Amino acid sequence: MQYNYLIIDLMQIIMLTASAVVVMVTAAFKRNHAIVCGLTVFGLFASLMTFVLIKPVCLSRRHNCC
Amino acid sequence: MLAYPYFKTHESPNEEFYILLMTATLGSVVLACSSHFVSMLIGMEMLGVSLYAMIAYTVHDAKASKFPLEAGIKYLILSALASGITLFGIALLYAYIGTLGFDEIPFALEAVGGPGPMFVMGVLMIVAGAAFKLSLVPLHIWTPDVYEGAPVPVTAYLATVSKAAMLAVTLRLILASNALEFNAVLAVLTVMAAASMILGNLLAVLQTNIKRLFAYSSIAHLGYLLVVIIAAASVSNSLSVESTSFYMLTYFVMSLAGFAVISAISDSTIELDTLADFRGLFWRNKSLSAVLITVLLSLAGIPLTAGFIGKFYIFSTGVEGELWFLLTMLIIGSAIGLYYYLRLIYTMLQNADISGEDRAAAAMPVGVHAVMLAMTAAIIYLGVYPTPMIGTLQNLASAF
Repeated sequence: MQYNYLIIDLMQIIMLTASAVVVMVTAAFKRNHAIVCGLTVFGLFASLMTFVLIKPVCLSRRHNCC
Repeated sequence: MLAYPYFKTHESPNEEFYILLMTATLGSVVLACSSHFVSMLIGMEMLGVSLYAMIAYTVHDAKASKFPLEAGIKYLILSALASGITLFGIALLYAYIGTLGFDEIPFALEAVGGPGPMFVMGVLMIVAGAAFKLSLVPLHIWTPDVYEGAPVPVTAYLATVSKAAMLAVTLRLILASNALEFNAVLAVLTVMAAASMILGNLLAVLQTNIKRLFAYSSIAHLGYLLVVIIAAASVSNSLSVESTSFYMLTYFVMSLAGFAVISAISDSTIELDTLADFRGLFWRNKSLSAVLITVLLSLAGIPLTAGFIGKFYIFSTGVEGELWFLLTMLIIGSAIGLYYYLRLIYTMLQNADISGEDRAAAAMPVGVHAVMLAMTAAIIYLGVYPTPMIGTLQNLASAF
C-alpha cells in the first residue's frame, strides 16, 4: 500500500516529466508552434488536475484524519 | 497562453521555449516539494538553468527591442553566485550536523549538543541564497533589469511560479529547522523585510517603465510576505503557512493579470511597457484598463479585492506575533505603494495622444483574454468570498 501512496504523491511530477518528453519528441518530429503550445498547455493542465488525486491521500497518510 | 501570441511574430523557432517552460515548471514542482537539501538543489538548478535560456530567448530576433541577452547574463552570473552561496551553506550545515533532511535537523542538533556558529552561518548562507531568488533587499539588484529585459511571458513566469516555489521551500526549511529560534537569523530576516518594504516601494515611485515598477513592487510584496514568516517565531506554524499561502496566491494572481495586460499590447517585436504607452488606455481599450485598474487596486490593498484580504491576513498575523516595528514599516510601505498604483490609474485616465498604430485598440488574442478574465474573476472572488479558499488552505497548512 505504501508504494501506491508514493506513486500518487509523485503523480504531478510524473505527469510533468511525461509532458516535457512528449513536447520534446513532438518538437523533434514536427516544428509547429500551435501544436507544441497546445501540448504544453494540456500537460500543465493535466498535472494540475492530479492535485485533486493527491490531496486526500496526503492528508490521510500523514494525519489519519480521513 | 500568454507566450503563444507573443512568440508568433518571433523570427527564430519557438518550440524550444515550451520545452524550457516545462522543465522550469518541473524544477519548480521539485523545489516546492523538497524536504531534503539535495532535491532542493536539483529543483533550484533545473529551474535556474531553464530560466537563463528563457530570459535570453528572443536574442536571435533582430527585431527584439529590449536587451534579453544582457538580462540573461546578469541573471546567470548572479544566480550562479547565489546557488554557490546556498551550496556552501548546505556544506557547513552538513559538516556540523551530518544530515541533509529538513525534518531531521532538530534531532541532529540535539545529538551534537545544540547549534554552534557554523550552523548559524550555514543557515544564514542558505537564507541569503533564497533571498536572492526571492529578490529581497539587499539581494534585489538583478530584479528590475531582468524583469525589463526578459520577454513579458518570461517575466510573468519569473514573478510567479519561480518565486512561489522558492518561497515554499524557504518556508518549509525555516519552520522544519526551527531557524527562527536563533537571534542572528531573526535579525537578518527582520532587516531584510523592513528594507524590502520601504526601499521596494520608494524605488517603485521613481519608475516610468511598468515592468520595472512591477519588479520593485514585487520586492515590496515579498517583504510583506517575510513578515508572516518571521511571525512564525511566536505564532503557530499553521497560521503562518496559511497566511503566507493566501497572500502568495493572491499576489501571484494579481501579477499574472498585470503581466497579461502588458502582454496583450506587446509581442516579440515591440513591448509597450512605459507609462507613456499606458496614457489614455481607458479611452482606447476599456476592458484592458478595467483589468489593470482591478489589479492595481488589489495590489494597493483596497477592500473587495483579493489584495485586501491578503494584507489583512498579514496584518492580523503580525499583530498576533507582536511585530510592531515590521507592521509600522508595512503601513508606511503600503501608503507609498498606494501613491504609485493610483498614479498609474490616473495616467490611464488621461487623454491619449497616439500617432500611428494603436496596439491597445487592436483585437486581442483569445488566450490572453482568457487569462485576464480568469485572473480578474479570481481577484474579485477572493476579495468578496474568500472562505472556501481559506478553508482549503487551512487543510493544507495543517499537513505542512
